[in-house]
Amino acid sequence: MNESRFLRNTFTKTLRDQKRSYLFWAFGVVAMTFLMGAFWPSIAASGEQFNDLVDSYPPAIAAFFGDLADFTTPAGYLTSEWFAFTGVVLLLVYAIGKGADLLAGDEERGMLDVLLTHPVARRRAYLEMASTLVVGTLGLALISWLGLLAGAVVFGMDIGFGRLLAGSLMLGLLAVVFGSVAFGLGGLGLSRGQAIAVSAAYATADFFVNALAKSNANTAWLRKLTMNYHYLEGEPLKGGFPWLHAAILLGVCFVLLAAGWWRFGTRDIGT
Amino acid sequence: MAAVIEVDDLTKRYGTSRGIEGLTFQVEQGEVFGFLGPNGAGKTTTIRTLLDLLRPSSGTARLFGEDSITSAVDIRRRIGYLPGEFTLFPKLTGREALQYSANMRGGVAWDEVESLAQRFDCDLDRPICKLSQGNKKKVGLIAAFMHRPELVILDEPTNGLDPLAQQEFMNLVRETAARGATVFLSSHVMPEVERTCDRVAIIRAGRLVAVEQVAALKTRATRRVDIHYAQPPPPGKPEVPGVAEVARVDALVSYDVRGAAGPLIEAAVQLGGILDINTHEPSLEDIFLSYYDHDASEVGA
Repeated sequence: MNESRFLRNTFTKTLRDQKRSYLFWAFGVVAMTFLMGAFWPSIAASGEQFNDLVDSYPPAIAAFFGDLADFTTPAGYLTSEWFAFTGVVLLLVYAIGKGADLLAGDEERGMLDVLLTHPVARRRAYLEMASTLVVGTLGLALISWLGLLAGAVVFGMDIGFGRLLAGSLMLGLLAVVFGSVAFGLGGLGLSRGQAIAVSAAYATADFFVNALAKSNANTAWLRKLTMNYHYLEGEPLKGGFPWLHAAILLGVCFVLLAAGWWRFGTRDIGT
Repeated sequence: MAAVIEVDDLTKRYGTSRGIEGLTFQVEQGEVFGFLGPNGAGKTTTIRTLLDLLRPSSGTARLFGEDSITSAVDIRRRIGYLPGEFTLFPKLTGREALQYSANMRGGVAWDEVESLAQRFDCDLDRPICKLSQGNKKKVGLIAAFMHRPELVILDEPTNGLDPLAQQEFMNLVRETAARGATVFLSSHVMPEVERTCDRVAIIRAGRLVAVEQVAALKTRATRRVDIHYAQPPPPGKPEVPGVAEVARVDALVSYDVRGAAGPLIEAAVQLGGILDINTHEPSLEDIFLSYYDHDASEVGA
């Protein structure tokens, strides 16, 4: 009865529910990150050609790919290819989907009804489910770190383990923020579909505002309001962990979850 | 006896859908209380408000003397609940779902689960989502009764249950009341309530129509009885109080019977023999009408 340990409370039960889909996600993330490493030797070999190509991009385009100036260094390459794009898309799809499904999805399926007819306080159930979102998303970020690490070792990419970890953790935090948007919206009473739509729209807007505002000095201040700015501005791949930016992301995440938490304690369930 | 459920002027309006309006009733300890009304009358809304899944627009609900909102968690500890639509956690097997449910409640004797499963002949080893409607219901019933709660709230309990399981369910309800617990069950069919309940509240379009002893309700109910005579009886015969002929095709005559059917049967036998009798369930609409007629005549007088 090994399985039964997971049936102890809402937190462990919710983790158990994700078992199969999580394996799928973990496999996908490892495959993608390992591929990042696999392409590295050819990028490194092409050297200057890539930098020339990149220099020919208009600044507005270049801004979308992160800091392209050093595309042929491991940190620059991974930032443009994984941390500023593919990784964000993957992790955000996971976190937003999970965030919306955990609470709003369970509510639509009537499972919240069933759960909340047990002697479990609503807000406690909310916190336990939110915890599985945070744990699952940060876990996926750590798995992506392992994939990057494996790729770096196998394909001879010279980048510190610690820097990769710092970058992966920041990516995880970014995903947790948008996952918390989706989860919190579910707490406010939005449907699963609405929660996904709003969070995805917000994430996209956040990404574009950060990227576009970069190329214009007059709008540069706007970037500080975006999550994507705080995510990479501290340059976690170049050494040191950006504690302040991480704290800002965590704070935003806390506020979002708290708003849903408050409303969830008083609203009607399943209407 | 103490009131286990006290509902006072309870109103829930939401969105465009109809809620409930000014419900007031009490359920005493040890009662089997029926909540009868057509689909969409507000039965589930009432139950969900009692369980604090919905917050009332106005009025209060008290269970075990405690407020349904402020003492929600304590109240739920003492309640067993069978939802009308959903059954536990579809991805889990019956055993796992019940285990999870028991873990959240604490203090469930697992023997009780096994014995209930045996009584209802319920397979606990298959995922709930793969079970038939009736078998899902059985798992739900076990979840509602396994912790021997002081109050059991059942939303349309026998919907989808086979006759054998229905019989077992009625026994279980009776045993539960016998040990001093209270049962509150909703239904949209009269016979289910007739067979199990002591007292019935009738709800229609969100409002309480009446709260009655089941015995009193029966005398109001109008049933359709078809009698196939050996030969056509004379027109207008038999004449029995409370019985009205509504249709006749040769020797097959249909009657509306209010109250007991015995006098009609006796009179029919006198008329020269019966080949066959067919009785139909009283319709809820007829019972509602009987209350409205009653009210109207009182106003008239």
